[in-house]
Amino acid sequence: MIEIEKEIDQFHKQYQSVQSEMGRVIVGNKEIVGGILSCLLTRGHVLLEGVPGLGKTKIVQTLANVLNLKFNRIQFTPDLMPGDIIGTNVVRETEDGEKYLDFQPGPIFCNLMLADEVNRATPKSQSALLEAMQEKSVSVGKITHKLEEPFFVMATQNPIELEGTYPLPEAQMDRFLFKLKIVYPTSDEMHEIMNRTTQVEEPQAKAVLERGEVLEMRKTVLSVPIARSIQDYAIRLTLATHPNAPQSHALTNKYVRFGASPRGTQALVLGGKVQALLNDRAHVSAEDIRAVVYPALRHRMLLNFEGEAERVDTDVILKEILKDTHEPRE
Amino acid sequence: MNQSTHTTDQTLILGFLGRVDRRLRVNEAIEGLTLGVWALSGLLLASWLFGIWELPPPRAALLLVYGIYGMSLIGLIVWSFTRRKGLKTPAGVADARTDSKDALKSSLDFIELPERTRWMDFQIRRTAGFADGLSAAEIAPTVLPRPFYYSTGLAAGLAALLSWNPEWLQEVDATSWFSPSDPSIADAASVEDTGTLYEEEERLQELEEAREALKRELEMPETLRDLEAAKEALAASRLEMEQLAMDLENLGAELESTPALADLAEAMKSKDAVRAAELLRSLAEKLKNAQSSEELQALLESLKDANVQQGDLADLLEKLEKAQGNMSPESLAEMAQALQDAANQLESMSEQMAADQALEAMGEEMQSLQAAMGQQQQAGEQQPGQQQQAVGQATQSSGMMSSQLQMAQFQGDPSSAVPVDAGPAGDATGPGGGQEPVLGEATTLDVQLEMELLKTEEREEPIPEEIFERLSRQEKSTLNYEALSQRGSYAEDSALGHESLPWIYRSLVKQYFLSIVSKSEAKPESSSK
Repeated sequence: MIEIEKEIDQFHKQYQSVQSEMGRVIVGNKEIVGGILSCLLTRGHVLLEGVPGLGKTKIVQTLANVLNLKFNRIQFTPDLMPGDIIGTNVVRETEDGEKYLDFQPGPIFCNLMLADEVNRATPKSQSALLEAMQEKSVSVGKITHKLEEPFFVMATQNPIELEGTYPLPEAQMDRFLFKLKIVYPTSDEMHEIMNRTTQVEEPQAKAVLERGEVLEMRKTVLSVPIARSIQDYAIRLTLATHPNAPQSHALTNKYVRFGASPRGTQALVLGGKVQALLNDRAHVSAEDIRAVVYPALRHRMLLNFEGEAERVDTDVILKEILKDTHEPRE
Repeated sequence: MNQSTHTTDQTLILGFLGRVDRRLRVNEAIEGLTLGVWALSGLLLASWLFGIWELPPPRAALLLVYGIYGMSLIGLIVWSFTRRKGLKTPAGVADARTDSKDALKSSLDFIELPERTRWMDFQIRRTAGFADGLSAAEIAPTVLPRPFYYSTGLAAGLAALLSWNPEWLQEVDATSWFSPSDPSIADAASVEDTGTLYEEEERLQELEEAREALKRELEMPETLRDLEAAKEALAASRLEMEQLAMDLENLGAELESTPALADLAEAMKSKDAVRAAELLRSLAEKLKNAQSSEELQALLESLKDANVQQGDLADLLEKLEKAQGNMSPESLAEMAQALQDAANQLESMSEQMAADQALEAMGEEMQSLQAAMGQQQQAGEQQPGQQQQAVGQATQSSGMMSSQLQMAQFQGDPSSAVPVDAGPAGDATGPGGGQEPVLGEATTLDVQLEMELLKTEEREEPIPEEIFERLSRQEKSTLNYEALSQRGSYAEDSALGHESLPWIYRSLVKQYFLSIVSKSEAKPESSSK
């Protein structure tokens, strides 16, 4: 028991150290940082959505620096090819003049990858990334290359300037554990940002965690048990996003074409486990589940024509679902 | 961590949840009871509004309804405690009412798992420590909700209102608290009760009738007139009785000097007329049966020595002196007869004295009757029982008065008999006890006598008014008197107060007027002849 308590305590310390170190560079956005860390610690990937200039890339870069992990960035463009992501076989000659195919790993072979403006790449390139995200491996030719753990993809997309973009399909969006929305900083945060970024020397984050520690933290998160009643709560929340289902919400029936998949429930449970640890608990509570409902389910709901026409925000539907879905009573 | 520690943690959590579960079941039972009471209230209200049964309802129907309701409640309570629900509900309630963040639910879930991870055991241990500091009473307090009081009050009120049967009060008596094994006992008790009640009512009715009859009798003018006449007769008889007693005493004193007549003298002095009559009769017997002339001579001498000057006895002694001269058997028989007559006279005196005593007693009874009537009239708001008692006493006194009056009329001499029109019938409106002097009627007995004398002379001119004036000037026409009537002698005042004639002269006046009437009645007859 003492070991577990130590694990929990260690998890806390490490988490706090990462957050505080990131806080030296990133102003505000604690929830965004927390969400990113949750995804990192639960073997998930995160989709960041925000207008340009809000520090999406900066957050990812800072995180890479703090975690002392191998970091790569891919700027997605319409002419980006899958090989540009995963790598490609190149023909090489030996000293004897014999030719052979040599795999040149793409930028995806890293621990932290930033897929910047992922919706600007073609679906073909997007698919290459998403396969790697799901399988944690890439197949080039007849050879499958395993990606090194931890493999964590942070994709960003711009909700505006959608001209000439390729919105991620539902199946690919589902690969992201969380979808985080970066909002404008407040006035005070803006002052702080100005103070930090308009000087000769900008603050730099140093590495506080090693790869092995991150993997240990992942193990700790996944060890947190969850009761069946709490898990049932997560399932009911997920099923409430399904139109025309017994548990579906009225707004769901009206505006949603497809609801969240089981990956959504997985996201709820995994995110809940991180929240439980952050709250110094050895079990997941309904409160932990509620805390991750928006980032876990908002991108898994496909609006119907009416919802799209009325520009319904899925967060509004989730808010109503949270309000109307009772917590476990027994 | 060893197995015993796990078991202890589980026991702690399960024990705590068990306590919470029991409290929750109690609360559920209370809620069910509240609902049941609401239902009963609705049933009673509906029965009242829609007249499902007659009010008040039969006792059997009430018992049936209350019995079914009570059994249902008991069944509900038993069911709520015996049904199998598990501890998930108390775990959920405990989690919701504390800041455990679903720790109890999770622990219970982990405990029920066949295999647990070390994280689960850790969570159970943490939760056990948390549950150890919790109080089941604080988490699930047993509190009677307000609706329980409302529903219970409403149901109790309606039940009391609808169950109330006024006849039950009448049926409540000693026999209603037990049921006798022998039916005849119950029948006898009911018959006896009914008979007693009937007799009481009958008696009360008789008393009421007697009261009304007495009231009517007393209110009649004839009765008042009779009372006044009786009063007058009583006064006259009393005067005569006193005269007779005085005569006897004087005669006894006169005979006392004669040794042979000592017993007779003693009887007369003690006013024992019966004894005196017996002694006279024995003296007559001795005179009849005298064997020798010496005995007769001694007896006559002794009688002669008696210095008797009283009425009839003086005549008797004269006869004895005459008989002493010739001593013939005829004269002796005449002497014996004279003694016998004297004895008879004394006997009649004795009877008259008895009648006078009866009349005196009657006067006292009449006075008590008047007092009772006065009290009844003045205290109009007396209790019925007391009124009946007073009326009963009055009735008894009235009965005595009537019998004594009849006896006086039967035994008394013609002079003491009460004439129907012997005097003026009072108007019964005299002063009721005032102490101030009241001016009497402006006619005295002297004036009355003169006027009546003038009336009897058959004169045609009216009676001159100067008779009044002359007598007034002589201060004889009016007589101021003071009404001494008191509260308890209303009838007496009414009878006596209207006359200014002193009662000791009333018999004399009465005889006078009777003689006048007899003369005036005799004249037309003689003239017609």
